[in-house]
Amino acid sequence: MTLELWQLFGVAVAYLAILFLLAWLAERGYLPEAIARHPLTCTLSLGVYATSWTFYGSVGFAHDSGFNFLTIYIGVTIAFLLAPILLDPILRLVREYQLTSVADLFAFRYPGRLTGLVVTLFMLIGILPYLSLQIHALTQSVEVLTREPAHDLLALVFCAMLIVFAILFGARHISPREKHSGLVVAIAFESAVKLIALLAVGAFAIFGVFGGFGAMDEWAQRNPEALGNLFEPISQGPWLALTLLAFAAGFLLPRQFHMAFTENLDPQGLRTAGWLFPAFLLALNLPIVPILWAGLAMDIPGDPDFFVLSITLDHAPAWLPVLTFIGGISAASAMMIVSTIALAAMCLNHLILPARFLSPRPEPHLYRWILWGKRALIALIILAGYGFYRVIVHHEGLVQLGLVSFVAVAQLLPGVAGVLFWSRATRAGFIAGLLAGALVWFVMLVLPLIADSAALSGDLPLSALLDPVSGDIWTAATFWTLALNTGFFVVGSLLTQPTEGEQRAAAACTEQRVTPLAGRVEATSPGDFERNLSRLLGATAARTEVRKALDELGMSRHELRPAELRLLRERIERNLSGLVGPVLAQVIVDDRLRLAHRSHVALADGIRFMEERLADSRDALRGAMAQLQSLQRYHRDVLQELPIGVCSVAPDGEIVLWNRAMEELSGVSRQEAAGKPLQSLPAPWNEVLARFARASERRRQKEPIPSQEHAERRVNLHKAWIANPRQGDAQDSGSLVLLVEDRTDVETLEAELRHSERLASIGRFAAGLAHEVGNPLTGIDSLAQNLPYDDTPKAREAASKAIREQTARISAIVESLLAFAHSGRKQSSTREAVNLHELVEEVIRLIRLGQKEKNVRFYNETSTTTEVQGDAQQLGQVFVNLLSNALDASGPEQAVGVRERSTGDEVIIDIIDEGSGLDPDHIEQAFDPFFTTKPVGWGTGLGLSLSHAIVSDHGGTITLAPNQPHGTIATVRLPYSPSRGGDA
Amino acid sequence: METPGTEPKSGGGLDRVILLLLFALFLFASPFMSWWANAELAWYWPFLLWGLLIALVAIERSVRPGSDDA
Repeated sequence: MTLELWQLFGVAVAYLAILFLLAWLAERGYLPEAIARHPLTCTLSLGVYATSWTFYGSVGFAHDSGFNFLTIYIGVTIAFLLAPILLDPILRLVREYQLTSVADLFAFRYPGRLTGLVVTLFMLIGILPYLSLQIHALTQSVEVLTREPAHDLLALVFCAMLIVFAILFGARHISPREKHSGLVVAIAFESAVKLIALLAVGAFAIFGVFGGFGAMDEWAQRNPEALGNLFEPISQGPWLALTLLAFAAGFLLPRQFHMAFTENLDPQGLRTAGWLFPAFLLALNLPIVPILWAGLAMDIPGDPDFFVLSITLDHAPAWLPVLTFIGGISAASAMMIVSTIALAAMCLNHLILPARFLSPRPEPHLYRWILWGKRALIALIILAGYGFYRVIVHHEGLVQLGLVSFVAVAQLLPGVAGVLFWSRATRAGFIAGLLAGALVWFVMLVLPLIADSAALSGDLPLSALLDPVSGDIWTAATFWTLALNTGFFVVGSLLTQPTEGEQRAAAACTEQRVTPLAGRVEATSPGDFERNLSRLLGATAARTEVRKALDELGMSRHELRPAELRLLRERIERNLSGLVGPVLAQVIVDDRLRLAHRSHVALADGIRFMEERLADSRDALRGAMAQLQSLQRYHRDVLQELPIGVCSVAPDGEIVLWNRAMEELSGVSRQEAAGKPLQSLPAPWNEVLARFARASERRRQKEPIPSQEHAERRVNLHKAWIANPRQGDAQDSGSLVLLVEDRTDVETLEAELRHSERLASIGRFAAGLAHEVGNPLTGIDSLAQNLPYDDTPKAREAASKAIREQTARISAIVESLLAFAHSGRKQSSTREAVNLHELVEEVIRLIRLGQKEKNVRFYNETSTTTEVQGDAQQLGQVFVNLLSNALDASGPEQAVGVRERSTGDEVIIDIIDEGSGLDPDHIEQAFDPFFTTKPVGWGTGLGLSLSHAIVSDHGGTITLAPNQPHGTIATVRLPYSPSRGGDA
Repeated sequence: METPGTEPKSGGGLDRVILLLLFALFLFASPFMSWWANAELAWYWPFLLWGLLIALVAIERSVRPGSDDA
């Protein structure tokens, strides 16, 4: 059967039209999203690996090299077997840092324009022969089907249609975040078509040509050399070298990288593809041996590369050659489309855009420029492949051209080791290795191709020199290119020191640590970001990029917090990386969004982001990393749950930690506080905390916090500096930790206790009070009775005076009592200048009420001018307690007194008695709550304890010592009033 | 130090991946390969060995504690 050229042309156009329709349906959402994201679709889209080489060339390869043809797929199987340590980390990098191509990956790991440039040029040169191979296969297949030379126009029209398809469905979006689901679905469809066509031809070979498996086996037994030709080359041929080449090609070929990583819609798909893709390749190769044997059995003349087509021509159903032809188009078109899109992205990011950005004038329509630049490059690359096809005389088989590209791609393997495992690798080492490998590759494989020599059959003198034993060019080329490449890579890396950028990139690649974001951006608002970026990107792109990054981070357009702006800068860099490549993105951001010249890099700086990243990270953290994370979370939880408020401030003034107690105490949530400077907190906390942070003192007691909702709050403030081990002085570069202790409840309780103690004292004075008030009352009563009988004015005046004296005496007692028993349970004390002499007099007047029959002598030897700073009521309570104790310890007729001594800064007041004295063993315990030596019912045991608390609160001390020869001296030291009314 | 919330982690299935790699090398890059290449086996034997390797990878992936994101 012979097909006409116009028929094939029609079939090709119809098939590509179906492809367009399918891609359009997927892109527009008419196909369910689940189909595009299905692991099977992901797997089939990876089938772009199987090109015309597989579809047609495998049979020829099997004919020439036996089972060596399987290496091209077993190598890929091993690469996908290692997906958890090979592909998953690359996918993580690509998604996290918005990398779009294999050149981006290397430019990210080995930062610098040269890296991307070298990789791009090398890949371009390496892949062009491969593109030409696809066109060659198509025209050859047409020649086989029409049995006449193919017209060049066919190849040109085919290329034109691929250009249109690649532009429409592969360069639709500019951001790598927006995937081309149409492209993924179309490529998956093409893989399915390839598989179905090859399986159909295989089935025809077995059942149509041989008449079943049994007959095929019989043929094989009759022709033992056919089986021998399959197995024998395994141990003689380049099995290991080809497996290694395929291993590299499986994920480093630009088209594989593009479908596996750049267009990856769902990471789960890649995981399933780990076994499903090798299974697909296995199914694709199963028919190869039956097809080869069928061709041999039919004794078909011509190139075994096209047995796939030629065995179907004469005896197969009419649809089978057409289906096979469509399968061939699928294989060629998928490869060309995806390779071209991938190469276009590389060329744009590493050849065109760097040159464009050298111009100081901003690009007003950056997006449009990038999109059309990519589209123009797609057209140029496909046309270059066409030109290569026209220039190169294709004497070689399909496999040879493909393997030339495979050896080129394998030169990236040492670099990949540096990306994933060897953080000491440097850019100089990578480029030196790549250039060395590329040079050998060019000399051994490309020069002969260009010269159309017989080198690919292994006759080149150089190949004989390099591999004198087997003369196998592929083993020799693989060995020498990779040996020199690796040697230069390792030695070059060890001879050069990694730059800071390389170290950072290596750490990001090998996940050695989560790098904290350090430094402060000079731009102080998203508006500044837009203005700065617009000078390079143009106003529209700058605005769009800043707003997109803000939206992705969930930030407001009025965001001013330095830490948030730093995060925004990082996000913009990543997004720009997807747009213009990682190198340019870094250049733009470093140039336009500069970090402040001098910014502290502290341990605490960035902790919040590290925590957020760790919390958000869904990666499985392993081993020590996981332990570290648990430990870190444990410590953070301890701080979070502490019942005392903790607020940690980074050296640049941003709040890093704001725990739960702090939230409850202040009413300010962690989200509101984190990342802000102290001054930006809501009042009154901004003032209180910022002032204390600036102050030199390390603690502040009972700081009042005005509150509208509650009564005034009181807090104790403490602070400490935490040094950064990487830097010097803690106070200069370390973090500040503020502890805020709520004293309000304790203060209330203490006030209650003081009040109770006062009431208890009043109770003790009650009997004396009755006596003291009763005596004058009796006197007044007598005077009042006698008053009617006093007939002289002088006598009435004397009686009246006596009555007033007695009532004054009562009033004085009552006033003293009232002053002491003041009903207010005020929580805050009022500090004022208190005259010590008057205070002691007042107290002695009260104490006298409780002395009963003892007739103790009281004296007050304090200066009438001494003033102390304090709360008169609270200090009165202290003297009541101390003098009551002295009175209780004293016997009849003994003296109890108050004497004043002075030193430079404080007043020393001794309360002296001549009583029974205090057991020296009890002095230590005397100030403990509820400690008393008095009989039951005589004391609460709280008097001295409270007095101690009050005096401490006033900044003083209180001690007890024995008096000689009898009694006790209680010594109270108090600071002078600032007005210094005393005579000291 | 064992802290609350710390869970002992296994190798995350990495050991199984390494074992699979060793098995793949044993099948396709060792003297065993020379043996099966010269053992006059049926034509489909290389496919069977390859299929066996793929099946083991499939089993490994099905028991592998996967994370949501790569």
